[in-house]
Amino acid sequence: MRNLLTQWGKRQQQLPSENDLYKHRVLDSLHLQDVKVKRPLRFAYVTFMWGIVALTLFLAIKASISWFSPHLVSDSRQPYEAASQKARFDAERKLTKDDLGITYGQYTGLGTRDTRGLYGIVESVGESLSNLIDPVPSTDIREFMKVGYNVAIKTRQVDTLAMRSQTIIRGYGGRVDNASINNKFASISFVVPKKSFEAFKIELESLVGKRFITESLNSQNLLPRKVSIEEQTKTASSSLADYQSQRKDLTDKHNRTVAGYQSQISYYSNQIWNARQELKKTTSTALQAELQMRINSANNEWSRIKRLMDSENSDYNKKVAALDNQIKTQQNQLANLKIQDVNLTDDVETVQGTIMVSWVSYWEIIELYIPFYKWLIAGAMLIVILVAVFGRGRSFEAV
Amino acid sequence: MTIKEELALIRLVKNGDKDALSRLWDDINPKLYGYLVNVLKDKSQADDILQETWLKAIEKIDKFKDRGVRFSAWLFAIARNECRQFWRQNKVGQAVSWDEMEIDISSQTSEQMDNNLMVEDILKRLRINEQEILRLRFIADLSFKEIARIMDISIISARVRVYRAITGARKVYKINLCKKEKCAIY
Repeated sequence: MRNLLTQWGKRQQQLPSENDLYKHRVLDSLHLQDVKVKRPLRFAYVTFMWGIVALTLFLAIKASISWFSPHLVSDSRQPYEAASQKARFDAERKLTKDDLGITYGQYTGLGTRDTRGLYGIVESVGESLSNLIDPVPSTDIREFMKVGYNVAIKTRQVDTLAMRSQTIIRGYGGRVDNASINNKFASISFVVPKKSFEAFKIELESLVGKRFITESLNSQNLLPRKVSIEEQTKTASSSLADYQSQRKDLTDKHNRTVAGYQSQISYYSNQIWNARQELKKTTSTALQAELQMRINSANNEWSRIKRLMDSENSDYNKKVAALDNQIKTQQNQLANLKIQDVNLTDDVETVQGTIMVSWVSYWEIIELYIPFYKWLIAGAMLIVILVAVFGRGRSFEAV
Repeated sequence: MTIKEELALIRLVKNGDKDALSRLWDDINPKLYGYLVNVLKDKSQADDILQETWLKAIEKIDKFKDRGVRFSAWLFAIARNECRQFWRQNKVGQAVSWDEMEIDISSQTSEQMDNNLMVEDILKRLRINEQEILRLRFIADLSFKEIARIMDISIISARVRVYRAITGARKVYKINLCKKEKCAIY
């Protein structure tokens, strides 16, 4: 049948009887037509293309800014994050006042309050210089890890989620230090015990989908601080023992000296009394004069020794007061160091952190699931424009 | 003539080259005229519409866009529109009686004449759309893509319709054959 139709089709092809006449007419009509100048490039087409380029550049720049700009963990417009993040930081290294060669209160005559203030200043200076010197020996491999946990949650129900977060914190034996909540943003600072941190974290993660939560975990080894506390404790204990020993020596020496003076005073007192007794009994003028001389001499010595003893007492009181001051200072320092040690233990045994809850728009939700949706829209617009410019309907432009 | 050759000639025609137009005429006209004669069944009408088609095509040649189809396909689209316009203006039904058609028998052998008559007989038993599509495929020698563009359908639809038209023609042919054989028997 196909062959039949093909042959039939070929046979149907024919020329009109007046073929040449018609041909000339058509050819003449071409001659009479104005030769149309080739149309210049369509500016509408060029405009469209520049428009597409501009739009593409705009979206590309916007996407690149949001991609590369540094985000804090709490920034709710972090793109391209579908999973939780964990970060670890190097252990902080701290110096103390002793490493700087300053022992507060010593030989300064400052009172306790002043020395505490000076200690605070020195400690902050020591912290700021802590990166320069590492006091921790490399053989010490102990770990006192302080864990920090920050989480950013995106949701459309900020206040509800913030309240639930606080409930979770308290439910795990934690504490809310600070909470600031409004319908668009909430920030909660908290502390939870380390032993219940994992369970707390899992429950927090279950509040929203994985794409809506960004976590940051950092840990810091407080070993330098621990080592510093230990060394300071050792130094303070050593200083305390030293001062106490000095005091004891001072007291012993003073007692001996005073005892010596006392015995001399007693001796001269006896001499004076004996001479006075003899003076009463004798009638000899010469003997009386001699006895009187002896009494005067003994009196002089007695007074001299009395003065020495007073001076010794005064000196001793001053010295012992100074030593007592030093002892008290060292004892206070030891008490502070004990508190620091307890605080360090608390830091290690707990996890501190913040929960940032921010409101998310539908566009941001789309961006979480389809990070490149802006490119898709741009591509779709480009296709539509190209189809509009180049694509024609299947039918010809029938004249 | 290939699409590239046609397009090259069109570019020349747009610049006023008559020789290029003459070559296009010689190549396309037999098919176009044959198609018009088969559609209108009237040579004088076919002459008029042929001229109108070419004149309109020349007038609007700048509108012709190369989109993977030939200039000849565009001409056939214009010709179809002219036929429709003619029928509308003259309030004549599309189907002119096949019996009224003038058949040129001068250059045909008897076998060819028999085959022609048989095909014409088959065609007149088909639907108008099927007739049209067979004309475009076998007289105008257009590709499926070009037929699809002219008829404003998809390429796949064009293929399917041609296939169905041929299948329909084959059925009619078989029926006719059976009738002949029965006639022969009796």
